[in-house]
Amino acid sequence: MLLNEKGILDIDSMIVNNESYRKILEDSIITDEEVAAQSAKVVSMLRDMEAKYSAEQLAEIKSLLAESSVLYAIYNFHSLQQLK
Amino acid sequence: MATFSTKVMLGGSPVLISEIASKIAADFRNNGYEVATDSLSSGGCDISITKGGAFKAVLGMKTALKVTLLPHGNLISFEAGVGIWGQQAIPTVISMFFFWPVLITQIWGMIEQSKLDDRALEIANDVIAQSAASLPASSVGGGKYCTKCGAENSSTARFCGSCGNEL
Repeated sequence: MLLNEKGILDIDSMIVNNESYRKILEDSIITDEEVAAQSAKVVSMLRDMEAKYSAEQLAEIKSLLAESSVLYAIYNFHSLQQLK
Repeated sequence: MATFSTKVMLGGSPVLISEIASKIAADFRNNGYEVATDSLSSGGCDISITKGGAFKAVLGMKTALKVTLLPHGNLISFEAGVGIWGQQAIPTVISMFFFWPVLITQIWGMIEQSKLDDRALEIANDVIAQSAASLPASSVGGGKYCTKCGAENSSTARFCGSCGNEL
């Protein structure tokens, strides 16, 4: 499930149990190569999804990515506004 | 009330900050919360309040209700919001986390629902009221301070002359 029983996004368990995250954070140092490899992995997953999912499903994924990115962007703009 | 924080100016002397922080800490501890207080170099105080339930861990770090009390001239700035447990440099890192804005608003909603921010504010106001009551009448100033912007107004003013907030 994406949300837990309290309706909270259960992102913590998704991340801390994530193989990529655990491997990258193993030595507590994040290298340029690790960032590049993770970025390539995300792009590769998007490509796989494009090949696998219907246009309707892809539209939903795109919409989620766009809305989440909007939230992320406005949150950061909002934080910057507080500094003024 | 702001979307994910409560900010008000309290009309009490900044010397009361440590007393307010101790009272808030004691009250929440008595109610089963884990509380940590940190003195700030500005003379302010940071209080982290957490317990299972409303507060989630993010990347292994506990989230908490963060109450920050800061001296603001002759007033105290009170701010309650969602942050990470204790004094860590992590909040800047965590704010870079893509889904942090979702979590912060969700956790803040639960804080507001359980009125935890109101409870902390109520304790702060009680300490200030008790302190004012113990002062001789001649030492209490006649002006009213705006709880929104902190400007001093006359004792008869109904609205703040600086920002228009109802006094």
